[in-house]
Amino acid sequence: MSPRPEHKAPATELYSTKGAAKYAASTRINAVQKTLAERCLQLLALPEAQPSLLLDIGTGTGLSGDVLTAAGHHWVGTDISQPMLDTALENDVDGDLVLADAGEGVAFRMATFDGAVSVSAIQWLCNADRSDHNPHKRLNAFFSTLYAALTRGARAALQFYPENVAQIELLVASAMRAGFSGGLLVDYPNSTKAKKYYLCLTAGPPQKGAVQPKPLGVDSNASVPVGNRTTQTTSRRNASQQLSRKDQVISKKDRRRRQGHLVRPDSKYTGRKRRVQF
Amino acid sequence: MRLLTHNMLHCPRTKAYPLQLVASTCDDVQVPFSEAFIRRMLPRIQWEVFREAAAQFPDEDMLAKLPESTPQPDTLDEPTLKAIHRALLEWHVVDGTLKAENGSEYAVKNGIPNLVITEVRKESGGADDANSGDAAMDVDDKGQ
Ligand SMILES: C[S@@+](CC[C@H](N)C(=O)[O-])C[C@H]1O[C@@H](n2cnc3c(N)ncnc32)[C@H](O)[C@@H]1O
Repeated sequence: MSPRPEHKAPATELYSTKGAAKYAASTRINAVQKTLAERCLQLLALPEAQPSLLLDIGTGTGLSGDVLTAAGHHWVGTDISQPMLDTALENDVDGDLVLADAGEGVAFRMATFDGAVSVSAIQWLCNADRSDHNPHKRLNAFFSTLYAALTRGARAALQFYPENVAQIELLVASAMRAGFSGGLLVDYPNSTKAKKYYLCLTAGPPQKGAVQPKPLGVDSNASVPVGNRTTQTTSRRNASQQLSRKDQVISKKDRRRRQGHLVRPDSKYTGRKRRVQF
Repeated sequence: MRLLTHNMLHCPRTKAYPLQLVASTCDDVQVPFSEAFIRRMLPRIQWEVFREAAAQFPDEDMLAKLPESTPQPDTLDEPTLKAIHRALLEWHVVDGTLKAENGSEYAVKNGIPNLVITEVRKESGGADDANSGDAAMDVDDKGQ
């Protein structure tokens, strides 16, 4: 497996001038990002035929924003990389662009946006790119300001590439602390390649009568998106059975914690089978 | 940067609002008119801030069409809605400055306001830009 890009260099260096040009030119990246952005938009569950004002975090060259435009919405895209935004300008995106570090928070006043999306970006916030970076603080700044910038009841659908379970926990916990309801959604949990993680959040308490979004591809008969096809499994297993024992234990502990129970902190021993004690 | 965006931005350091806009270059890009969208945005607009920012644009006729104070939704006619649409969405600040009360300044360059608080600086000075950019793109789906 190739090393994760977040480990190679800070986003500002990775998405340098040359990087941005290559990113924008890759048709494969284009197709994948577009599909992910469409899924995020779907998860926002916006009222039918209502042009909304949306926020796109880590907008990059504007691939995700283009999807929002195509659906008739207005959007503001933020990114920390000037070259990525310059490329977005060259691409003539319709959204407004802002150079900003999501780890410093979202600089919009209260109840501005009808929804927020983010495609393949927020895992960067779990990294300490500089000695003065504290992932906890940056995530808290991000989620609390995002919460404030959304209209009450608005949703945020944030697709990301977690490095491990601890990162998922960190993101979910930080979002919940900021007041969001909702949580993690995993599409195509049975496919190593097509598997995609989303934070599907609502600003405020869960809305009465709101339908909880269903993950895609949980049923083994569901088709895996083109370009992501791996060997199809024939077994009908549900999503939770797909999680490793450790993941299951951790998510259960997390649930208990959220319910206010006293739960032992997770450690590297969490969820391990104990040896028989003599 | 559109005036709609300007109207919504606050100081990333202190949340101070508004950021005073000083525009040196402006642009005008046509956007399809949607009455529904403008009406939806109206309650979210800080009208004084919007009027003041719009005054930076050299279009007296259009400015004259913008209501002096927060308009009542039911009194709005189409010419007024279109004037609001134009100033909110079609007018762009290309170059300029955003000034917060506390003295913080944020530059707008090429239409993009720079709200990064801590200036990005190379820490180690080790990696050279072009190379790391190269490596970044040779990844599979995971973690682009
Ligand atoms: C894989 S790209 C995705 C871009 C776009 N959303 C798309 O789907 O094509 C990830 C983007 O996240 C941005 N990013 C990384 N860290 C960030 C941060 N702290 N704040 C804002 N953007 C960030 C990068 O600059 C990059 O443009």
